[in-house]
Amino acid sequence: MRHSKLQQQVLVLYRQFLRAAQNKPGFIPRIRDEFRENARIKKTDVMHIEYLFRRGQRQLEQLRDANTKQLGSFSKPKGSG
Amino acid sequence: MAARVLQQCVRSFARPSLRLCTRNVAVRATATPAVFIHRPLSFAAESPRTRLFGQSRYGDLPPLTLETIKERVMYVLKLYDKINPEKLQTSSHFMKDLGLDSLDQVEIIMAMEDEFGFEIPDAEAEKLMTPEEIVQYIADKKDVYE
Repeated sequence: MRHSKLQQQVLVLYRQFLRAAQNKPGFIPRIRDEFRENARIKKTDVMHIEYLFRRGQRQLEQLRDANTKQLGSFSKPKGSG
Repeated sequence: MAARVLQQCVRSFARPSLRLCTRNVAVRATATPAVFIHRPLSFAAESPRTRLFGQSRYGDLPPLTLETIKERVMYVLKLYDKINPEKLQTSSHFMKDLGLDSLDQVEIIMAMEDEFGFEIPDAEAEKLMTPEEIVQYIADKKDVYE
């Protein structure tokens, strides 16, 4: 299974994310969904992939910051408007 | 000695006897251990420890064999939610047989790292594609022969 340089970097970033998020609740589902969603991008669309990669690196720095504690989200209740 | 003083300080912090803590700090600063202060200290520091570990000679994990490594690897894989436990065998390829992708493979390798307690570098991790290969790799790294 030969991965390109960029694919390998993305996988390394994914691993770093999962390690960094281990003790902080709420991040893991978001990380997994985000990477899974963006895995659909075509391999040829390098500009988009590199953009997301740089964005991911910045987000990883934010996650590693000691002041980041947990992630939560609001959702609209079904049936009401 | 400093460690025992620190232990006693931490334990006594919960109790309202801060007086005892400051006295210990003063003792450490002067560096002349007064025996009558240290005897109750060491007794308190030693007794829970010797009660817990006094019986065993060494606290090491049971030795690894190929069979136990294989059991643990398969157990961790069965717990992974994207794998169907009925389809899983030691020779099933993650991508070709089980339909996983490289992100899942990263997660699986990380779960193995957590289970066996040592880091697997990325260059070698991306080559491990079946449970059999993982078992062989861990046996190599941990020097388990049969």
